[in-house]
Order: sequence, then C-alpha cells, then structure tokens
Amino acid sequence: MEPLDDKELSQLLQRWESPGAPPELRKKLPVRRPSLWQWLLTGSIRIPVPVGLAAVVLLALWLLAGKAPPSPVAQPPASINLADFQPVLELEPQVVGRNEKQ
Amino acid sequence: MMRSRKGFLAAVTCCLLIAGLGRLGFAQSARIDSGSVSQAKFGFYFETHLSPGTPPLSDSFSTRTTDEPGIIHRVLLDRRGRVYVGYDVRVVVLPEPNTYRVTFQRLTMTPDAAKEIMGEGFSSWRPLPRSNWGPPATQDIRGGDVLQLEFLANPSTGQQVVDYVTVQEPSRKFNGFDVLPERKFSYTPGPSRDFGTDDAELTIQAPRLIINGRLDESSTRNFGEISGALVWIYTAKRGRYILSLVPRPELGFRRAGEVRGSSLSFVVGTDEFRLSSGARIAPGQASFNLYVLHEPDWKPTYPNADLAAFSMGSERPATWTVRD
Repeated sequence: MEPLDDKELSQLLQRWESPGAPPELRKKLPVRRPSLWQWLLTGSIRIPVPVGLAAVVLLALWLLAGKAPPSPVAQPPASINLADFQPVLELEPQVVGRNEKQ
Repeated sequence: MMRSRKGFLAAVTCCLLIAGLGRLGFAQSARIDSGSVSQAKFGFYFETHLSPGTPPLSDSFSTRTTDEPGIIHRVLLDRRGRVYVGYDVRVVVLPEPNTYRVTFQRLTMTPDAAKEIMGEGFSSWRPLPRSNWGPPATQDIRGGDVLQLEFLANPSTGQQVVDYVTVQEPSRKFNGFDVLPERKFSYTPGPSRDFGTDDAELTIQAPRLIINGRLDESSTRNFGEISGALVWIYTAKRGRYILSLVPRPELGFRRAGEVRGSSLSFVVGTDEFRLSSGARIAPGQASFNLYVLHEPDWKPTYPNADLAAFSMGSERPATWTVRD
C-alpha cells in the first residue's frame, strides 16, 4: 500500500467515524449526583499519601498532648453539717479520766 | 478474661484496703477542736471529738470559746448554714485544794458577744432547735479529772459530738523571767492498743514555705499549728499537697521528699518545695521519707476563703476511701 500524502490523509480522517462507547462504560457513569447523606455514608475522599501521614502524626501528637494526668486514686468522703445534729435532751457530764493518785 | 480478672483483683484489693482502713480508724473518734481558757485561779481545757469520725464535718464548721469571770462560753458554728449551738460552763473553785465545781448549762450570749462571734449579720443566725439542755448539770471534780460530755447526736449517721474537759492549774506563759511552754490538754477515749506506723503524725507550726527558691509571702502570715497522719498545704495556682510519713500507695501517694527535724522538702513535677516549721515535724530523731499526693484542682471552699493565700490543714486517713 502506497503511503498517503497529507491531502489523502485529511480526506480519510473526515470520512472516519469513531466507534460508539461500550454499554458497560455507560453503566459506570453516575446517573445523578449523590445526596449529601449518601456521600457522607458511602463517599470517599482521595488524599495524597504525605497529607494523610501528616494528619495521622498531628492527630497522635494532639492525643498525647491532651492526655490528662493520672488522677489520684483517693477521694475524701462526703461531709456533714452541724445542722445535721440534734442536741441531747439533757447534759450529763461523766468523769472518765479519774486521777486516782491525787 | 483479663478484664474480669483485673476487676476481681481490684475489688478484692479495695475490700482489703477498706477493711484495713476501717481497722485503723473508722470506729475511732476524730478530734475536731481543742483549746483552753485560763483564768486567775484555774484553767479550763477542752477537746471536742466527732465519734465516729466518718463522715467528717464540712469545712464551714468552726468553733469559738469566750469567757468572763467564772464562766466559759463554748460555741460551735456552721458559717454556711448560719446555725450555731453551744453551752456555758461555770467553774467554782472549792475550799478543798485542787477541787472544782463544774456546771454545764444553757448558752448565754450578749448581743456584743454574738456580734463578735458571728459577725455583723448575727441576727440572721439561728440556734439548733431544742438546745436548752434542760436543767444545769453539776459535777465536783479534782484537778486533772476528765469529764465526758455528749451533747450532739446525728440520728442518720449515728455520730455524736463529745467534749472532753478538765480543770487544772491556769496555763501560764511566764514564771518570773522564764518563758513556760504552753500547757495543752488532750484525751483519747476507747481501749488502748500497740503503737503502729500509721499512728505517726506530722506537725506543722507557723510554717514558712519556699517554692522554687522564692518565699511564699502569704505563708509568713500563718502562725497556726496542725498535726495529723495526713497534713496538707495549699498554695495559690498549684492546689493542695497532702503529706504523709507512710507510703499509702493505695491512696495515690508517691515518695517525693523528706522530713528532717523542723524542715521538710519535696518535689512535684517541676516545682521544688521547702517548708520550715516552728517545731519538730515528725517524731523521733531520724530523717524520714515524705510521701505526697498532689491535688492540682483543689481549692478551699469555706466562705470568704482567700484562694491566693497559703493555708494548711489535716486529714485522717480513715476518712479517705479508695476510688473504684
């Protein structure tokens, strides 16, 4: 076959019809834009690896820095007030430390 | 499996610790006040106990004792609830040497005395109901005898407030040119037992606190004295440091310093504390390890507390519980 010159090639290209897209490819095209909720539930975000690694490192540092110091394991008891007490009906002093040597 | 085993061990440990603490002091009374009033011919000495000591009285509890010739007024106050209760003691020196007639009776307070004790708003204070005590109760005693006076009861907790009082010679400060040590009274009820390490108490008197080499000026205004198995100091912006001679790891204490005679020092985080006391801090002649529990968020909660000033107090280990 003789090689085509530019004119013949141009005519040939004008007559050429591109083949149609395969039906499988059409199925892969989104029929409509997903709702916000659908995207939140099933969507994905592609991020560059360095950005993802940096985010992980920052998150780890933040968690370590924000870690609360260990709290003491002891706690004082609840207290009572003077108003919780009732006076006795009668005062009855009793000797308890008798000094017998005197 | 590991989790349940760990939980089981923690529960057993808690039970043992609580049982141990209970053995040490749950049934004991706690000293909540003490003092003396000296008059020309006698000294009246008292010590107030809460029995049993747990739960403790809130930090709004305080006491005042005033006197006039032959009569002592004992007043217990709750500044938050603005309630008070008290009694009068009349002491008569009898002709027989070293004998006294002591009469307990209803509290009497002049408006001036009430104003001095409760402040300007004294009229808004109210006495505990039924605090007239019935007829006066009289006892003749010899000097050194101790009188036990149960005068308040809490039916919901089974606790009592009990005063132990005695009449002795007046507490004199001078004998000629000699300065005499202050005469103090203390009484411990209940059966005696052997001394244990948990009985060792720390005493801090008129402390001067140095933090990271700088004197805490507010500590120079404190001339009080506290003692207890657990004593604490509070400093502004740093919270409370509870000090113990005994390790008490179950309560979260860590070895952080030492006690040497009348001074102690410890380090918590990047802060170094040095405290000099007006008297020996720990019993005995040796230097001792000091164990510290830091509560950075703790602040005094009593009314009109000065959060910027040094303060101190004591706790009883038996009143602390182990957290689950």
